Amino acid sequence: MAKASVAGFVAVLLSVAWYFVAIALAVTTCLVVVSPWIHAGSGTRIDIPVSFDVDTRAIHVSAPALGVGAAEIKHVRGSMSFPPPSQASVTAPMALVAVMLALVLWVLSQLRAVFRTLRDRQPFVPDNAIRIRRIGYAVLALEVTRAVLVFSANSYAMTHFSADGLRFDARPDVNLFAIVYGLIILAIAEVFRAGTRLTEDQSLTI
Amino acid sequence: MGIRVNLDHVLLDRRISLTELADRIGITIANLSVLKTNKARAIRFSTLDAICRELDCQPADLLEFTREQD
Repeated sequence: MAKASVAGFVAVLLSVAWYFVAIALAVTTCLVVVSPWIHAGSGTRIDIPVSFDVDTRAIHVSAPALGVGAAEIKHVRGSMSFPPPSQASVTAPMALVAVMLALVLWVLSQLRAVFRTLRDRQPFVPDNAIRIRRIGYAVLALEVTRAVLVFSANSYAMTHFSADGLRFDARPDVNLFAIVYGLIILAIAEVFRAGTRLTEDQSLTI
Repeated sequence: MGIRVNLDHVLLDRRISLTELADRIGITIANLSVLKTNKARAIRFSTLDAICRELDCQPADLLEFTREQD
């Protein structure tokens, strides 16, 4: 792998990202561990994703220039910030963030290992096929975890909060593109596995 | 795989070392060693031709099929 190649640049970016995520994970883990003994100050706020419908009778939307008289705003997604009602409501989201950071760090480690084999000019090894497959599963797992977390937060807001002019609801928010990306990575892993088998056959043909 | 390579037997019969054969047919010792230890997945006709020519033997002297038990 030439130093000036795109792969070399990506390898450097991956290393930087790995250290960044590792530091973030260390800090988050420390915060999770010490949070039961630290009282959150009055200025502490937590953000959760929310989903809601607005009262169409109260909010009038129109576009006179386009000749649109009555538009409706539906299925709004956003975030809500509020003071934490308990210590657990601070610790639990941080613990979940730590778990997701750990998963991201693991994916980055797999990618770095793939790029190391590229640097050593030995990329077509069975281990890389396994690593790419793991990355595919991790992408799917991260998306499913994110969707479950968003749905849980939406349900929490729907159950405990009320607001004038809007109604909180909870809808599954699965990013189909992320699922497709995960499936594409899994397909690439299978192609790679077949390729490594061919390379192995080739190297063991005398 | 049920195919065994009997290169070591033929070499012993001909009193030729692996290194000497490698030198004569222009194949690396590492590759010949893979062949001798039955780790090879396939053998090229050109390789078989060179070995048979050099050791004055038939392909059947080098290769043997044994039915494997499941």
